[in-house]
Amino acid sequence: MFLLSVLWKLTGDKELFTEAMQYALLGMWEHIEKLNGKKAGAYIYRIALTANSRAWRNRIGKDGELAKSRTNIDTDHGLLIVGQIHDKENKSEWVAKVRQAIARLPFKQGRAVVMRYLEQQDYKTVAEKLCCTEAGARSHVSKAIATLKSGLTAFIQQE
Amino acid sequence: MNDKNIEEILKKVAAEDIPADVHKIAQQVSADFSKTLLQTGKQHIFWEHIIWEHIIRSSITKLAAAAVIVAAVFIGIHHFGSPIESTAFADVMQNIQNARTLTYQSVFTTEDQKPQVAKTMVLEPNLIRVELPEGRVWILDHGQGKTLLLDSKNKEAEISTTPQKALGLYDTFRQFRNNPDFSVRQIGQREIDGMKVIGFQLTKENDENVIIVWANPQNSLPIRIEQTTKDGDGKVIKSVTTNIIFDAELDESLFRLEVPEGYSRRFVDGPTERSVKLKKRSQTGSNMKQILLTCLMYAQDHEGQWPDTLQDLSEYGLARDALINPKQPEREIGFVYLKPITPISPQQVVLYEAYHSWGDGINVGFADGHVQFIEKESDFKNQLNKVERR
Repeated sequence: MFLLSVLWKLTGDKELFTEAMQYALLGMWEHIEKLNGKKAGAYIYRIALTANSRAWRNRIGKDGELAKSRTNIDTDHGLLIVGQIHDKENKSEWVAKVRQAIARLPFKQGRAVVMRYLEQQDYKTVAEKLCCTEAGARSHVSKAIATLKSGLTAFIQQE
Repeated sequence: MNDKNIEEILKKVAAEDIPADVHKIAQQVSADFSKTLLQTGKQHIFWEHIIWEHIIRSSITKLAAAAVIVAAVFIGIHHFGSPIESTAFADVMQNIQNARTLTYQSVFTTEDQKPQVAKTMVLEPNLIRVELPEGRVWILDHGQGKTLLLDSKNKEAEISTTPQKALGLYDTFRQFRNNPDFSVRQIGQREIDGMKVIGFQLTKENDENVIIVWANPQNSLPIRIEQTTKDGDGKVIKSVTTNIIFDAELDESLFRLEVPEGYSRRFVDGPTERSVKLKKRSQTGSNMKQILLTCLMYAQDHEGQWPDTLQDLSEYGLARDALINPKQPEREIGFVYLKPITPISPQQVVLYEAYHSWGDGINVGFADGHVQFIEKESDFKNQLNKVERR
């Protein structure tokens, strides 16, 4: 259920999910010879994250912004963000923005975020899968959060 | 916006349930994808390859297996659900698929030979042993892609590394299961050994192979299977399979690919030169696609500008292995990269295999991300000239 679950969490939108799933299947077909051996797990992540990035890239308009109609993602997260976000429409838009920002993360950071937060794995497991130390895993995650933060802060300033 | 806010959003996203219709969407996408591959004639290669060459190998990580199984299971459901008109037959197939071990006896009849009896044992997921007349035993390990033929009469052992396709009844079922073009119809009832059984006829479009399965309607277990097929010379072979037993205890030692003492051994037919060449060509193309995709991601983040060199892609998670051309592993970077000039034309050559001599051709990558194998050097040079003229 890995692909389905991760792609849904990364997209949160049925159209995007459909597109990402198509890219993921294509990725599996194209890299079939790599879906074996010790590195198979890493390739599956790569395929999933690349599929997600491609789906988001196709969705984003030329001006780099999501169309409003594209952000009507069905979420009811309760009080998500303190500060700038007040109503439900904005909350949904923020969640979409975070997802969009994840799609733009470099691969290792993207994978770290997916494993740490979306799959809720501990740092020890993340480190094992990223073939690095626990400190290295923490570094990837914190870099990813910093990248997401700077991207989203830029969004606030634009607003 | 602070780190805590972002972490909060991520945790909430992680806690979201997957809506039920998302499963259906995934199923539909997988089915459509399978159909598309089928149109190109590659579908069976893909799914057979994935299922039988990858999932079942013990070395694959659980994660990868889980990911592939998602797709494979959907395909299975799709193929299984739509073309089969009878749910009763689906139950029979389910029993076959669920079996951990399976044994059966088949009698083969051809026009010009006396009937031959073969006893088959299957130990899932990938071991098969066929005991043939005159003391010959054939052991196949799908996982390793190896077969061992033992001839006890002449004390000879033959080891083959070419994956076998036609493996008799069991693989016929696999092929039928993986191919959506077959149809099943009920052909009524009859009595076998005092038991009333129900018959199903399986046929495939443009295929003379016909299978009739007689099953016990009480427990949906197959009792007798009749098959008519043709060999490579067009001779009709009929087989009748009986004594079908599920989940009997089978000794794993029966499936060992070990040559007994006192046997002379010989190796036959490894991968052909052509198949090795095609595999490397395909791997090279995959690496190039990966590079191009990463270049496109890079350009996305750099206002449309492509990287100056391929080394710049390391930050984007491109593995160093991807820069190696499997055809020329001695080169640190096996490809020539041409940074595209703006405005970028999708058909502009941006990447190609470095080469000393032309050979059969090379893979060439274009700015829109696609990779094409070009056989003629003149065609390639024409493409390159277009870049230079720009």
